[in-house]
Amino acid sequence: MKKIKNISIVSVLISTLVLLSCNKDTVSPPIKILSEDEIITIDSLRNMYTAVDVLINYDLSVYGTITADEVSGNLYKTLFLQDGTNAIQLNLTSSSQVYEGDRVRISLRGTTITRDNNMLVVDNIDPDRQIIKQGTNESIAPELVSISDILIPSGSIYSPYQGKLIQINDVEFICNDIWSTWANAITQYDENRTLIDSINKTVIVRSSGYSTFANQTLPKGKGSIIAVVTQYNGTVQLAIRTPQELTMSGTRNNECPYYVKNFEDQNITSGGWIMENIIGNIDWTTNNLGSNSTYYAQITNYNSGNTACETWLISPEFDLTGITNPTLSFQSAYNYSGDPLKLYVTTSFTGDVTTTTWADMTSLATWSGGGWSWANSGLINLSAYTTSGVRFAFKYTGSNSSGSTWEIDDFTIED
Amino acid sequence: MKSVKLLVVISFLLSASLKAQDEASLENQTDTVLKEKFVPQYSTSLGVIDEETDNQDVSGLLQSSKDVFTSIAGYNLSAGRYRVRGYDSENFSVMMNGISLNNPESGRAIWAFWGGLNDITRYQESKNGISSNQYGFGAIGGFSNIDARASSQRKGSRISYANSNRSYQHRVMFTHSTGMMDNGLAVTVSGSIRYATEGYVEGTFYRAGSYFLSVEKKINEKHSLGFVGYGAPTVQGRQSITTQETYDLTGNNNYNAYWGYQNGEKRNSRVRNNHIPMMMLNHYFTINAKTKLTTSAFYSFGRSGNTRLNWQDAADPRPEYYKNLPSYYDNPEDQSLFDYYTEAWQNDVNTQQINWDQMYFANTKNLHTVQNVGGVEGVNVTGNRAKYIVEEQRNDQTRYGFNSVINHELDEGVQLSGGLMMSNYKSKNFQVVNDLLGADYWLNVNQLAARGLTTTAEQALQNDINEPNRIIKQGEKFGYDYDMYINTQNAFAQIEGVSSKIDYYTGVSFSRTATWREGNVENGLFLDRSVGKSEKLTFLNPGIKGGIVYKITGRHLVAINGALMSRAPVTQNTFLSPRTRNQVNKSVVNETVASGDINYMIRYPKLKVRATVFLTTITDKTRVINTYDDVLNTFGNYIIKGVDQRFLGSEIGVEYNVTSTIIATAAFSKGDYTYTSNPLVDYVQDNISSFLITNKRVFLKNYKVGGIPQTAASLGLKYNSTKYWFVGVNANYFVDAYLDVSPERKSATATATFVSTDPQYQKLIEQEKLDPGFTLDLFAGKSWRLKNKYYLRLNVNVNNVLDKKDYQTGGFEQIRLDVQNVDKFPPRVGYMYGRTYFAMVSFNF
Repeated sequence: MKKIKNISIVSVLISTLVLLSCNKDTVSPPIKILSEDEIITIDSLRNMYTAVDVLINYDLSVYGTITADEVSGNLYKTLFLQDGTNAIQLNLTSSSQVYEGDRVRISLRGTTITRDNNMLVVDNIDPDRQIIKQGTNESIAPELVSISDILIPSGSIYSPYQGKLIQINDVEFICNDIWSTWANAITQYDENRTLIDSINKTVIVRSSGYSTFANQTLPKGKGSIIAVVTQYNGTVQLAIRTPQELTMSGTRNNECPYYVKNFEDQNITSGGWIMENIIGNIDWTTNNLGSNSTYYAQITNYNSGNTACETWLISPEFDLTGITNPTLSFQSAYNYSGDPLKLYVTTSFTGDVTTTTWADMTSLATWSGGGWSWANSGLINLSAYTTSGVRFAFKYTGSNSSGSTWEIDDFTIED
Repeated sequence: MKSVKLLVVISFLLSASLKAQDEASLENQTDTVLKEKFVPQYSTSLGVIDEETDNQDVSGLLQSSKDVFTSIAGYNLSAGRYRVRGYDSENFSVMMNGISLNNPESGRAIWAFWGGLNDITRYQESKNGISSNQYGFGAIGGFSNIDARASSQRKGSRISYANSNRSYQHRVMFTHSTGMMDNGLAVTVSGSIRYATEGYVEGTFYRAGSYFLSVEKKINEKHSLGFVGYGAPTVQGRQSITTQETYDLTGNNNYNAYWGYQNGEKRNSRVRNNHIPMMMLNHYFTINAKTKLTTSAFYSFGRSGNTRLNWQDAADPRPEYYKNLPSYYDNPEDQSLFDYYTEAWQNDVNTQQINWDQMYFANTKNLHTVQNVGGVEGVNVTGNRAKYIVEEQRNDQTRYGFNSVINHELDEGVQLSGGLMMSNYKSKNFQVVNDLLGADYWLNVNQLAARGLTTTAEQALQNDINEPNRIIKQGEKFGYDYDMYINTQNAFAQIEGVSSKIDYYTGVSFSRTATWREGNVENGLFLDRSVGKSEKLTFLNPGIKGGIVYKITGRHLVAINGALMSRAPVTQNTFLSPRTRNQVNKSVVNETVASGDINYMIRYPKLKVRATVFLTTITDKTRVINTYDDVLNTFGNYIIKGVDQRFLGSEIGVEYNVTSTIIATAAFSKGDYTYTSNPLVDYVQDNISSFLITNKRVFLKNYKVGGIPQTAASLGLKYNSTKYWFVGVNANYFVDAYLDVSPERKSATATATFVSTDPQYQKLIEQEKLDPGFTLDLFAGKSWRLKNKYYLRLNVNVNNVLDKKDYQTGGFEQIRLDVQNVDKFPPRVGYMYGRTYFAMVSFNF
């Protein structure tokens, strides 16, 4: 019995010692503890700005969720931050590894609240040191609004939704834009496209020429768009995150032409156009010289002298079946003397202009009178071609001694 | 009379079978060698240099300890990386015939140097913890003295064959001892061959031999002269320790990144090739009945090398390099590369493993002209310059010395011991081209010298300015080349007494250690500091120890032990960048070790118990972590100064004979092994003499010492049949294991941009605790006695019978840290083996 006692005394002793020794907190590296008044909401942050830039030179943090990031290239060194109170644009000193859906704390010391053409931004954020991720994949749902809601109310200089992620339903791009790309991927210029709703309120969608979707054409139907609301002086502009978030495939409110090729993408052959050199190697190109600054197709056989050539520009195949009164129209302009441009049509393109049977429609169109003056072809009746496999072609001919410069634009088939 | 005889036979068989089991578990210990030393590494590219000291340590030797706790813990818990009292192996002293076998450079005894000589090494005297020691001062963890005297070996012959699926597949071992013959001569020879084309882990081959000769001549009643010589040439393919991502991708927790296919054959890039023979002469002088003097001289020498890939002007070929892993490409902007790498890792063995054929291809497509070869104007050589090579980093050692120990019986039960030892050690450290991988030559320039140039650029590139632009062929030295000297002298004295009520001992020790570096090549970056002798560093280290046993009764005992000693820093830590220069680490100081334990012991024929509480502090430790920084493209040393550790814990071991045939054993250890200081860090790179970081505080205090289970338990049951067979089972439990923390993550620079509530802060400061592990081991054996004088024995061990492969045995946080993405460099972790076996048949004649 005594032995057992001895054992138990020892084990009690041991377990006490062991228990005493455990569970101490580690002494951590010095760490800042945020107090209540060192945290600010986005709404309060926006209200800090009155008329002049505000440099934040003390410890202050704002929490929020990233609603738009730099992934698609539509934003560059720019993010949008939103919380339950409001939203604001963030301007970074370098590109970030911060993504949409990241919940972050932003350490504001050293940043400036400023107004850039009426857009309130937090400027001068070093993303490596000042954006601290708190979580990921915590996307905020866009707020459903109408175009009217986001426009600048009279008496205010800000859109009430400035910086916020919004969704607008039942909108479509205007007919003039639907054959265009989001932006100019070649010059990398930003472009404005116009969105219109059922009560004819419009708003601009502005996209960066550096964005990965700059060269894609706009959706042609009606539907919803998700974007953040930005502002340039008195103009509200939407910035989309990615075209994949747009579901604009519904039937439009305002019908647009059956087909338009306006060469704004600076691409002769996009949309299925074909160029064939029968003689020589003179090609159609795009250009925007002249008082009409939009892009058009142009061909000339003059380059320090004329070159003999025959170049065909063939349209993609159209199925005009069931269209009651189809018409074709286009703009043309030319200068210098030479053979006239010819317009042909066929329903049995063989893939080779020389073996295809063409009908000459040249005389049905009104052509430019020369001297670079643009002429509308007028509506060319296509009732005889309400069938499938319809193609049109412009034939340009030049000789060694002469040749005009021809320009074509806004090739349009309408109902 | 007959029954007495029977008893003798049974007890002999019993002890033999226990021995056999010991041996199996010793083998198991060497099997766990594989894993890299759990040292944080900076990363990645060329990897860590300091990995020679893998877990080839000594704790295995303690398994045959007679101590009830140590013997159980030693052989059942080693698979879970349990270390007695949490100590590193430098705290265990291993000797042979009284000569210390601990390597002066690392402080550790390296098991592999005498691997395969189990027939000899099992005869040893072991004591755990602080104890009396007639051979030297000892260490706080305990000591083992292998008795290799020919006259001590059991007369007879033994041949055995073992088969296993651990590090080797086959082992043949033979030992013959003459015993003391009439002519006063005793001879023991032993040898073994161990072999595996592939061990448990893929790509790990094993080829090892060993030889041993011990001769003893009894000159007269007073004098005996002995010679011992042994060696164990070992060539072994090694296993990596990598990030969890690689295990997940391959679905293999024992994934090994070191091998790859070459012409359809598995080839390992990391091969350890050791052969350090040892020779000793011992003189045993019995001066009189009360006094004996043992004097020994020894000489050991040989090669120790580790191969690895090296490359110049080429992509990092290691599959586990972080830029070769899918996670590096996990980017919301573009998942295509992530998907590509994931797919490749899962389906392409040449992505998952090293792609040797690709390296050969690259090497044969790199025609290049080296101008002014050897610094001779106009001597130009054109050929395929190697982009990739296999290099061997050598650490060839020579060590000689002598010791003399006197043991004198002062009085009845009072023993006085004292001795003098000296040891001169030199290691030659250099790089050799092991395989040019199809190229014509390797250029001996420092590809990493581009930064921090201190001399003209042309010179700075040279590893050896006296022979610039040297063309290196297979087998030739290149890169660094330096010698490290460590000379030690030591004196100790001890008195111990035994009485019916009280046993006691006390001892003192004094050591002097002198260490210096001598550079053999003049590095272009450090013209005046790279070649020749460095400053000599001298350390003086006293030690004192003592213990007392109070016998309450003959069956109940209380023992108290204590030791206080100073210890010279490990030489590896005394030079800032020994690969390039003589610069010494000015801040290095002696370590102080203080240790004490209180024990309660019960000794009945049927019941043996030891319960212990221990407390040890090791303070002022300096630790140097070799790093490779792939951003700055340079090697470096991360020096942590003033590391204090505290080891507090308890051990309980119980052995109980339930019946005459059933033995139950239990061992339980609970520890609290913690860092108790906030050390300062310096960081210096090989190519720059100035410090990149100086005296940066790292907050290690109260973090746990990682890589080992701090709590472990083992329960065993063994049945010994009177028909000469036995069977047993052990259940083992490991818990409270942590990843070793990276000091870099616990610094103010790491946390500077964060506030207390940020998740990054929590991730930086938390220490990952590993899941508990459980294993079940089975063992069985049978003996046959043939013609009344031969014995045939068979025994089998099966470890981790349940084949659990998901127990992480340890790991460490990488020093490398990206503050913007604190998860970017995840910890490296290792897993325990699944089911393994060891089966042996032996024949004694």
